[in-house]
Amino acid sequence: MSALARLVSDHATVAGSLPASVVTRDGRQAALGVVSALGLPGGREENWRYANLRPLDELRFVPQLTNNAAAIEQARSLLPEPLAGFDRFVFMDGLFAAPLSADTGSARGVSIDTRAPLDAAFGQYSTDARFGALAVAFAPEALSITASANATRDIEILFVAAREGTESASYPAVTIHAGEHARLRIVERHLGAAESATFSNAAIDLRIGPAAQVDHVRVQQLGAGAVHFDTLRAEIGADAGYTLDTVALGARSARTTLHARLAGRGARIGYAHSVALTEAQVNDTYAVIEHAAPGTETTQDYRGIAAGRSSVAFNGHIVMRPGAAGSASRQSLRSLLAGPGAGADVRPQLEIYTDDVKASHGATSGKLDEHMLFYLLSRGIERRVGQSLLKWAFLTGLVARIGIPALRTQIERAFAQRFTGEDAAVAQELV
Amino acid sequence: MLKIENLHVTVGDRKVLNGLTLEVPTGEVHAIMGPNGSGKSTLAYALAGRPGYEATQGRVLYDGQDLLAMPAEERARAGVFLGFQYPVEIPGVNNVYLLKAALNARRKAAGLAEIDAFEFLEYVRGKMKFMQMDESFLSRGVNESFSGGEKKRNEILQMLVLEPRLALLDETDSGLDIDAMKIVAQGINSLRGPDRSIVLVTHYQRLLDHVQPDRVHVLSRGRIVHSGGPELALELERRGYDWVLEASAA
Ligand SMILES: Nc1ncnc2c1ncn2[C@@H]1O[C@H](COP(=O)(O)OP(=O)(O)OP(=O)(O)O)[C@@H](O)[C@H]1O
Ligand SMILES: [Mg+2]
Repeated sequence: MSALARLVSDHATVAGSLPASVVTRDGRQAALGVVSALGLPGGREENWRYANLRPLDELRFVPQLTNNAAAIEQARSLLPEPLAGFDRFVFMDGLFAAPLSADTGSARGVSIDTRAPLDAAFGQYSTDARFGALAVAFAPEALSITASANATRDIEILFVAAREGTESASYPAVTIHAGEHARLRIVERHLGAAESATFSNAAIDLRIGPAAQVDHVRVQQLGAGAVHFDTLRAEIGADAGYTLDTVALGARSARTTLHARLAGRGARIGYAHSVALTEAQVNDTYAVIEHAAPGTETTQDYRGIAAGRSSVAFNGHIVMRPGAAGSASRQSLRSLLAGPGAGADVRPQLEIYTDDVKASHGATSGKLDEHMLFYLLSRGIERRVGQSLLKWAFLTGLVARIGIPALRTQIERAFAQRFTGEDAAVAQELV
Repeated sequence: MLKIENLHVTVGDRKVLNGLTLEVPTGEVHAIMGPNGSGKSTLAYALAGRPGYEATQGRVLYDGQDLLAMPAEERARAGVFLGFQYPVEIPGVNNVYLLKAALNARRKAAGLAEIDAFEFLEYVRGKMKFMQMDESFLSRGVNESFSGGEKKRNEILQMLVLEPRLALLDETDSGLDIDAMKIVAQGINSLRGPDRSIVLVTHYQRLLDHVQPDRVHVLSRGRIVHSGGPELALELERRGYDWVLEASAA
């Protein structure tokens, strides 16, 4: 049976039990139609060339519909230390787990609904509609966060993928709406037990209103056997700012499809993505940032380090629409090969339809900087230690600007665990 | 201390040093001057062991040891220090970490135990005070976003912390303001002593006003073509290089 046929039959078995309050039956059927019409992606499609799609052949798509208390308690040990001042919403296998969550309800003007209806258009847009549609077709629950004008709130959203097997797919689905001048800090994490092989399909849709600011950190630490697709869509209004700092460490196969649209004059996005892989992991990102209004700005940084036989890929595609006069983009994409069988492919891509823009990019793939290494050697630092130091510096370079110190430390610890041998000894000293 | 005999060095496919001979006795300060592109930095790099700077002929003895046979990090641990003409920025590795690791590497080679963390901070703070550097530099990335002058001062700070036996300072005086020049000169003078040697690569007399060299050498086209006492630097400043080069060509 083809993956698509399995998907359709899995949907048929579960469709009757999926809550219509989240998506109507017709809505789910329509979304399934979108996926069926487009087919699942294949390696021959340009934008999917570097993703590891082999797991699709064996995936099962049926989600969990209930969670029991004992399983929820077991998941507790996987949760990181809470971040001070953040409300916490935990979803286990895609279902809200109230006992693990902490909603102080303190902040006014921000409403949060863990079983919100999903918009029919959720995740459906030009870059790639399929995985967003998959969420609409299958998600039993969806989280919605709405901040009214001037509201402020710090929110942690944790998706724990715990169960494996045929009825264990999870479909984290989140809608975030920041009203005018609202300020949200969102920490979104995807977690799993160290060796677990789970399937998750996450979709997140942000609308950021005029002069609002959303600072979003995503950390993906799924189990070593996990398969993870995620789709992020952001619409950024006039004079609004969106920072997206993402860190990916887990999963056997992970793919991010991102489409951010700078829709209002003066909208800004700062996107930084750090990836550290080992063994045979594959992490692929296709990020489209579209400048659709005047005076908009993008900064995009990528650091990917591939050890063992793993491979990292990043395609940063920037589009300057005819209306984007006075806009600027800067891309710095770097990868580092740290294993004999490792692979890396980083590609900046520019598509410009107006003259009056500035777009700069730099991309490097390969080895540690020889000048830096010699400088360290010339101070008596051992070669192995110097190499470890530079690897560490490479990897933590982007994380340094995450504005939540406790989270930064958690991420650095996770990085340090990624390092082995001499690298690990050096990293432990530096955390 | 340092004995260079007929040294030939190739960088890429380019022969840069062509039979350079130079001796720096223990306890002395020597200045090397010479036109742009004559090979001064190449000499400094070759002595420090930079990869890609290949000695095709000749030899270099450091305290009687074959310096060219040692990897760069071993040379440093044995007491050779290179002050870079263009110090490298290493974001993500902080200054204090590098200073401590470098000092401990040097101590280990000398058979000493690692320095106590508290003692180390006191020690470094003292040196920073001497160099009139703010302590905030310690927590910054190595040379990261330092100004040109701050980078040079940081090189001298590292030198003072490591107390090398042979210091090779490649244009440490370039890009320094008047006060910084004095501070750097003080740093160099404080290291001067009967057990150490210092090689200053410089284009200007100004540094040498503060740090009197024992000898001055002119490097041209990859060889030492003329040597003299401290008065040679003054003469070069006045007359330029042409007369030396003409005389040596003759
Ligand atoms: N990697 C390289 N590849 C090719 N040529 C090189 C390389 N490095 C140095 N050279 C050449 O070797 C020559 C000597 O360079 P070096 O940097 O040693 O000069 P210098 O005397 O220090 O000059 P300056 O006074 O300008 O610092 C120059 O002509 C330079 O272009
Ligand atoms: Mg030079």
